[in-house]
Amino acid sequence: MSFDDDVRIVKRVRRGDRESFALLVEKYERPIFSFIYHFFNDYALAEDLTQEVFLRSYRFIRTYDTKQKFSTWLFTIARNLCIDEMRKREKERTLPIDEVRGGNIENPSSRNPEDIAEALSDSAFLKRLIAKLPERYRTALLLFYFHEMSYEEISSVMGISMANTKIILFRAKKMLSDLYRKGE
Amino acid sequence: MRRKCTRYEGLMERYLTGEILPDERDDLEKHLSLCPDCSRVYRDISGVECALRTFPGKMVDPPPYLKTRILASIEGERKSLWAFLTRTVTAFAAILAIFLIMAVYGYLTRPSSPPSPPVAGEKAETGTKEVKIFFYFPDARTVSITGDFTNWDPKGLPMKKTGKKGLWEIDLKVKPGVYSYNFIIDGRLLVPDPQAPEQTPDGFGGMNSILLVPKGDVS
Repeated sequence: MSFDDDVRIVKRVRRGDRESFALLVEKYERPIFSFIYHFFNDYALAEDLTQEVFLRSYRFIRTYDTKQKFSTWLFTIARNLCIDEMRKREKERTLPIDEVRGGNIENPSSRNPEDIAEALSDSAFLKRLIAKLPERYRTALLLFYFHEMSYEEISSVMGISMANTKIILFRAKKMLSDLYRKGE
Repeated sequence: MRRKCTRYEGLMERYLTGEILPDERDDLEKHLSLCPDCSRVYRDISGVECALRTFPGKMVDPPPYLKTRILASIEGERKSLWAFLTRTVTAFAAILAIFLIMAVYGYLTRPSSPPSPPVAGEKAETGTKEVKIFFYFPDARTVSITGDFTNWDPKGLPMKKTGKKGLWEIDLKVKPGVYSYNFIIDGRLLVPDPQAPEQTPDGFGGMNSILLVPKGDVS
């Protein structure tokens, strides 16, 4: 199903054809669920929030600009819901950016930096590290590497410039390597 | 990474993704050969990049029932919106009909002399009225009533058994007006009142009972 197909389906839903919305759920349920799951590393929460993403998208489908990709719009809703959920929980498990970016480069731990690729090939370990990143770094990283979005699409989801997207992606990876060195 | 090295962050990102220009690449490679901090950062980030690209569980299967759950929640929302609109339109239509009937009745029975001014005590008629409603359903264990006056609360207001077998009753205190309502049998079955003077479609294939509470004495 292409971008044009999505727009055609959305137009049908707007005309009152509710059954067509099931096609959009079918197509995007897995990516949205995966994004939320990796965002929180929480399967049950991903179920609830995925449902809410589609409910909101149905409720506000008239506000979707058909010049934009539907997937980008849907991920914007998902990201906003994730941010709301983080605030609601008031227990953000990420480290403050300055702490992550601290002076560990100058004082690396005993971990051998050469092992980083091998250590992070343990997917459970990498998942835990990703879930510790601050929100914007986590979001950018997941969209780029897990959902293969372009810089342009990520900048649209996050409401930032493309240059900023690239810097955020670079720093996200640097934070992951710093977390690894710190023995997180 | 020193402060002066931050300009190489963007270059490293483009270097990793192959977007870097030839001049920029030469500049970065020269810098990496001279700056041990940046060289180490670059090695680390290359490792992270590799781990992220080869991560095996990027897509996670949702539970098989999730799609049904999503579509049911959408249908539920649509129905509640539709029910709200139906109730509102029904109530407005009923009020309008009553005003028309009253206007026609008033016109046909108008007195030959001018109407007398309002008398003391009329103000009290704008308060709530008590309406007794009966419902016969011998097989029910519990019966409650729900409607516009309870904002269609799914639990409703419980009705009491009368002395007669299978007959339930409730005294409703409501302001004069027009209300839609139904009975809830055993907390799950919604049925209209067969004794109601009027019924209207509820928008889902069922019927709502109509309760008229006029101003003045209530029988």
